[in-house]
Amino acid sequence: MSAALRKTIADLRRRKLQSAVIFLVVTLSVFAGTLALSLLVEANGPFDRAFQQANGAHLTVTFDSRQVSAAQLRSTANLPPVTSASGPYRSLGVPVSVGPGEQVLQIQGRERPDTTVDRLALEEGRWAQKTGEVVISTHIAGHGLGLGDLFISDSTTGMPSLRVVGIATAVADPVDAWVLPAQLPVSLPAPIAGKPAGYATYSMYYRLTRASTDADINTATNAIAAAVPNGAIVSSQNYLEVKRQAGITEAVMIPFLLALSGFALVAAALIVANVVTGAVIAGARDLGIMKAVGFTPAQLAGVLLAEVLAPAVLGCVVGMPLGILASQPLIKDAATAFGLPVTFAVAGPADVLCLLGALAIVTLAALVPSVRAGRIPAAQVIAGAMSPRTGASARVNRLFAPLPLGRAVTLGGALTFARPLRSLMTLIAVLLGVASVTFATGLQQSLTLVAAGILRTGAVQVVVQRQGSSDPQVSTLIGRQPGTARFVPERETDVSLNGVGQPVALYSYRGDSSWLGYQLIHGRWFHGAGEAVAPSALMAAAQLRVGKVTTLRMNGALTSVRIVGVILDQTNDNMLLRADWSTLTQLDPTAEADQYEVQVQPGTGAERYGQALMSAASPNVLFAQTNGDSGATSAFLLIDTVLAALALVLVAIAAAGVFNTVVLTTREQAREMAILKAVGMSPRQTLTVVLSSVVLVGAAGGGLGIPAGMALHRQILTTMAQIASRTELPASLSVVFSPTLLAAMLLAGLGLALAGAFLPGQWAARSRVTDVLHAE
Amino acid sequence: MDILVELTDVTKRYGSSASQAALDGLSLRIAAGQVTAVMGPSGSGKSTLLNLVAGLDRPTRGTITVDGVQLNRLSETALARYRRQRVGLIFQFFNLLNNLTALDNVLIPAELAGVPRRQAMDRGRQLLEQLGIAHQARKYPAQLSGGERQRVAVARAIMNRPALLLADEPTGALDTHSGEQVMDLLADLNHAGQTILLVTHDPRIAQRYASSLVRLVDGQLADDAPSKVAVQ
Repeated sequence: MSAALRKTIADLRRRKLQSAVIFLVVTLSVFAGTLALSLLVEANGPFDRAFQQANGAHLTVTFDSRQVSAAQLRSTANLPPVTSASGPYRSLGVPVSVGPGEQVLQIQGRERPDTTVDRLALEEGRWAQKTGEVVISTHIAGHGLGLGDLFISDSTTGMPSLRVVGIATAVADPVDAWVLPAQLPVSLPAPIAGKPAGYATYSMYYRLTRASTDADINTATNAIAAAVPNGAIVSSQNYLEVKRQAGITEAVMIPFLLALSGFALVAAALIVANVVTGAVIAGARDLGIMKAVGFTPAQLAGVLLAEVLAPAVLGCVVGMPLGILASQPLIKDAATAFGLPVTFAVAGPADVLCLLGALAIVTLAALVPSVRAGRIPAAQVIAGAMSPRTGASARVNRLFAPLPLGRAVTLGGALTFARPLRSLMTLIAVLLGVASVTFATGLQQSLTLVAAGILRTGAVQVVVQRQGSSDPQVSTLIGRQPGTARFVPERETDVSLNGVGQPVALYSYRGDSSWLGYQLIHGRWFHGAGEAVAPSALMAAAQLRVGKVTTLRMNGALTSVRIVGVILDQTNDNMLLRADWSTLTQLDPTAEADQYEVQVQPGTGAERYGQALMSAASPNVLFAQTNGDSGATSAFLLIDTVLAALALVLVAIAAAGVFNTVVLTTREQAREMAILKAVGMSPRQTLTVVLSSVVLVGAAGGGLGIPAGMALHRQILTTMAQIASRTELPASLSVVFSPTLLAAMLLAGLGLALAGAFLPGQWAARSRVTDVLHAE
Repeated sequence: MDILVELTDVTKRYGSSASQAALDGLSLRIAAGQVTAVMGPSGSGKSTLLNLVAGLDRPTRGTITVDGVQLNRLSETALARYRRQRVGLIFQFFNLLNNLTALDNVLIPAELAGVPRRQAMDRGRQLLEQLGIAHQARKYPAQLSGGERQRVAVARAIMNRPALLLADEPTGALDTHSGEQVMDLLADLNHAGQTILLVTHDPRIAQRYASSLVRLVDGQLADDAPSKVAVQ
């Protein structure tokens, strides 16, 4: 065994704590890096990967089963634009009860999931094998439904009760559940709430020879339409449109993932460099002795590198799989938010890059001081390690000594400046930790407010849809229903608007609607005839601004409205107007309300209210549902989860950074601590000295991290809103930092620093004076 | 004669119970107002004795009473308070804090004891004046000679007017002249009533300055006789 190797092994045995700190920090850093990079890679183009895996349909066409036969549809697979197809599958909207709730599910009959086109990915359980079994889609499984749940349908539908035996994901397919084809009735006897008809439809899934543009897909759609009876096509779905929607979700995720990943990587790099440099400096006296007994500079560098690389490599080996494993639940959440199948994702090249990056930082951080030490004469190295250090720390000591804070505090405060560069690196790590927590907390609060603003659950708890009855009848029923605080009838109508190529939805309200809870970005809510409000996207598309008058057209009728406010609204792709009932009657004097937004009295449960209202009405008069979940909330939940996970890792890295700094500092200051203890410093005062040494770093990190986090929060929130729905946000949504919260954040910075310093402080307090002083 | 320090059957072992005792059943009484020299070969237990009396370490067995305080019963915090208020320590290698000026080094025990800084500074300056190094008050240890550093250490040791001054080879790192100056200083303090426990290798110092002598061999008392030369 060579002398260098023997020395390396001996040092590794002797410096267990140093090795443990390097191991811990590298593990955490590689963990954070792998987690961040895995999420970034997985969030990039998930639709394309899922579409490829499922051999997804370029074109999905729904046919009226009364107009076209299954045999006719099978023959469309041989049309020239079609390369392959699967189907036809019969589908039906079936009302079912699950627990206390009722909903209409789009159920499809399918023998098996592994079809040539539009393969379904079975996430949990198994495929339906017999009567009474159903497989549900992941997009409804996320809303309180799961394996083993029982769906009970009305006896008139001819459907048996269905037990959930599996959960599957279909790429770009809105089907809610699948059963064996024989279980699906041909039609339902009565009209169903929210569905156009009670008859079955057929779905066909096509792969096309050319599908790179909307025009290619339109050509194929026309060819299929020509091959079936006129009017047989109910709807069609172009995969490019779905891809664009997935791209928006992806684009929303990327900015904050990039920000937090960047934070994690920078913090990790700083701490690793800090740990390794500190370890080398701490062993400076040994370096001198090694040189004195004949180690060459290369051997010195080799020993030092081996000493830090051994625990660092171990840290990589542990950290990388941990990061990959920890990222899986988040990737699963992301896949669910995208509506895509869940796979075990390993971003191989990114993970290897992270690992090599960590090792490169460790190597560089160790090489620089060791090469420097190698060049300095041995006597100077030894003397340097033993000689008193004055400089900045001494000057600060003089400055701090008169402060009326207690000597332990002022001595500790001055320690911050003993190694200014080390303190600066630690400060940056704390800054990044506090900035991430500030950013994460702010974004979480803003997203909660955005969700509340979009859902308006504080204002509207129940939405009632009119079915086979008149507007006055339903209005009377709601008005008389116990628990009704107030309600407003409404009607959605398509109108044309100058400058907007597509139909614009006009939502008209009969009566006071100012309480509906839409958040205003600019201006005010409409007060009566001739006034309207609209979301940012429509304002931009129609080149409108508050105060401007625009003309609405419907079936030849015209009316003008003045835009009086811009609202936060996510309905109908933001291409809508909200106005008073009188605006609608000028376009359609016979219009009747078909939906009613209800605010229930305090203490009235929305779900119970809805059921009571439906029970009070005759069958098929109305359908009441609680105002609640939407796709946005699951995306927000995902963002919150990812935010919390990455912020937590960053905080851990920052705390590890502080821990490392304090371990190094207390070791370097062991003699000073021992002297102070010898002249009467108590264990508590020793702990105070150590904790005080990080107070400035914690306070400065917190003080700078808070504005940095707030700025990032504002920027990312604005970017996300623009990308996701081309909307501005009400100023109130970005003003989420109350003085209490800010004070808490500042304290969090201090708390982070103190938490990282506590353990080494305790060690210092317990160290024996005689051991240290006699070692000299 | 008042007894300031009393050790009864004190044993100190480092490591396992089977290891050689650094002090082995030592019983000893030191009178107030004396300079007691502790002598003995390397490994005889001199520094261990000093550490135990200073409250820097705890005996494996036996009791130690200093100025009426039984050290065995004290918590770590109470021991720190004891070191701060009842004993002063002087080390061979000075053990000054290099980041503090001479004056700030002297003030440390008082400041740790909660004495207001202004009051502590008055006392600190007075001590530096008394020890002839007032002009070096704002210098850092690295800027002082060995003798000056040890004077600062002496000033620090007596800052809180301790009942007992413990000096571990106080001249070991000094040249002869500086060493004599420091010992003269300690003798002056003794004349003023300061009790001193002095660990030394040098028989001439013991002969010249100590009023009693404790000789240790393998952790046990070899003799406990008055010094041949009376204190000046």
